Amino acid sequence: MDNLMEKLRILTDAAKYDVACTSSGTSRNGNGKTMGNAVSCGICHTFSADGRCVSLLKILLTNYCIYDCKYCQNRKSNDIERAAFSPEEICRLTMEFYRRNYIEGLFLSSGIIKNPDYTMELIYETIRLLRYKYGFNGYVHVKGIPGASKELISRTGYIVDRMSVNLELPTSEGLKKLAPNKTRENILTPMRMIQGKINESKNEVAIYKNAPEFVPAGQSTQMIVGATAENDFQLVSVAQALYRNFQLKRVFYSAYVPVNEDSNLPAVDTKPPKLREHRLYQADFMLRFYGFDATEILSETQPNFNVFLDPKCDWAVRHLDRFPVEINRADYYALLRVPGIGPTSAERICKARKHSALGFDDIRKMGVVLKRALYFITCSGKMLYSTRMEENYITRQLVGEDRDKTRFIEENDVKYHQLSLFDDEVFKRENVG
Amino acid sequence: MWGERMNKKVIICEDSFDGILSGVYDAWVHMNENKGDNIILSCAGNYNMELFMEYIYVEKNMENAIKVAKSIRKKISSLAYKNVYMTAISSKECKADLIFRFLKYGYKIGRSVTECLAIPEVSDMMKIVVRVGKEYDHFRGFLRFYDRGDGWLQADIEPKNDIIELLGQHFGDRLPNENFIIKDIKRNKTAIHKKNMDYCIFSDITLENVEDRIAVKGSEEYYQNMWKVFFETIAIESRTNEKLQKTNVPLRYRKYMTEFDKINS
Repeated sequence: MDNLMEKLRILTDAAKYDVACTSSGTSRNGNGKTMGNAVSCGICHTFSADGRCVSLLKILLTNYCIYDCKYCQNRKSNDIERAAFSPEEICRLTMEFYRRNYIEGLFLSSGIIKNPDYTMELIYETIRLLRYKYGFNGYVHVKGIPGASKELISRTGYIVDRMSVNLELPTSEGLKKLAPNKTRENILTPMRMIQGKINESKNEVAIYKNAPEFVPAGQSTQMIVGATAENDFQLVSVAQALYRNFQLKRVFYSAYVPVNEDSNLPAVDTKPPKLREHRLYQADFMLRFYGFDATEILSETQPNFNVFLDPKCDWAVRHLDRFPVEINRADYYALLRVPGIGPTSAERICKARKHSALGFDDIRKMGVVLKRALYFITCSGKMLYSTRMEENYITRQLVGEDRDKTRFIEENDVKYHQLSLFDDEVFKRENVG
Repeated sequence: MWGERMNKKVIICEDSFDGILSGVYDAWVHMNENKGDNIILSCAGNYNMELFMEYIYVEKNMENAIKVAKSIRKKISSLAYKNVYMTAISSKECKADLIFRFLKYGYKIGRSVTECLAIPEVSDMMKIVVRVGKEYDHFRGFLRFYDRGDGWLQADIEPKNDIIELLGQHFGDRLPNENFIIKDIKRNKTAIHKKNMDYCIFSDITLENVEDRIAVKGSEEYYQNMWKVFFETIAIESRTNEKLQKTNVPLRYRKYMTEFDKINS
């Protein structure tokens, strides 16, 4: 094993807990001269042993860090192997991986060396080299370093596709407790600035076609789930605020994997809360694509997700008075609220019913999951089977279906499997509250 | 009744996009002559001979194929054209007849035909298009080039559907400054891209110097091992989930994927 391979191992290991590995959001044809293009839906190049998509070469520039964030394996006080890439090394790896079609591009983050400005400058230098010396035209995602100067972040924004500033923890109290060197202010300022620049550049591009694009794939962020005591309602509300106030493209949730011993953190043998993370992503989709408000999904009185039911089904069984909806008449947004109907199938239904009345067979072919939807819809006034419109009955049917779907998520979580509530004939939703 | 039976015609065309479009052209001509609906279009190799049927073989005819292609785009839509293409390269046996029947609706209904999913032909076709599109998406990510050491990159693939032209276009746009070959091992088809060309050449001929797999050495071996190190390290142990991995990268794709070879360093 040579030096560079060792570096790659250390700095990949140090970067692996970052969630975002998507390459979506930009569409760019090749320039006919140098390597690279970008596809708007993103491309997954492989899936690692944990089943996560690998799209980008996700590495740290260095895992030396002057900060001491308690949840982070790279914190200053940890005695671990440290390494640093040179910009040239990163460029060469990116180019050689890209031409073999291993990756869609580069995702570069870094520990903080010396100070935020110095670190941001190094990231900028690396990407500048990659873009101009190596002519790389593929996807690049970098971290915005909290506390780096406005000018540096803005310079970097013009040569990358996506920038993200990690929120790390959903509340500022959590941040104070676990990341003493970071402040909420420090994180939200660059986020706000990137948002402003993106909008500014969109206006410029609208007028001057060749104006440079600023962070064309938008900005994203990430929250650690389960390291602090926030409930799900707080998390979903924060996500909603980020989408609405900062126009983020994506909020990522990362089930906390305990890497450090600390009295402020969950014990080291705690399993990452993967089902909770899964539910958060489901709720996130409801916010972004289904027109739900955070307060509809959860509330002060029901602050946590139902373990047994996905949040959309959960919402539906709590609002049976709104169902069933008629497939041939209900508007797009009413269709979207039906469990088992997604944006694609809702759109197909809306188009197809202009030409002829639709039956259950037709909508099944359009991608509607009838197993879930059948309790909530009629086709030309008829339900598929005569079912009881009763909360407990429908919940029971849906729970079995959800269990089959989510079983693989917490495969290793013995606790989840041992629960035998599912088989209980008198099972009631209240029991699991 | 006898006569009706005898009137049934099977038009047999070449199994390719242009071949099927040529078949559509002739099927259309026969349909108009006979004023009947009893014409079946089928790709060569995909039919069982039946009694009392008339079999007509149609050669690929570029002129007719282009006429049909143009008319689909003009009289129906470019989306319908794309769907016809995706269906034609699929591995579905009855695809030629499906295309023919779809086009009959298409010319009647016009551009909104692709929305009429209550028509079986339209929804069947959509299903095929989605399936072929998925495989193409997978291969855009899962295809692996290796450096042959002679100035050429090579990728070997065994897709279910005939997606080599789509892949050639994608990688031609992405890697303009590389010489590369994509080889469909099963169909014996290759896509060849020369440096600084903005197109690929497609060939059915097995090229002598395009061997299946050459011995990996030198810098190629080095970067393959680097990639494997990255791949092994990026996974989080406490989240190991091979079932999910298997759903996301089905085994049939792994044969030529570098990271699923055993580490040899």
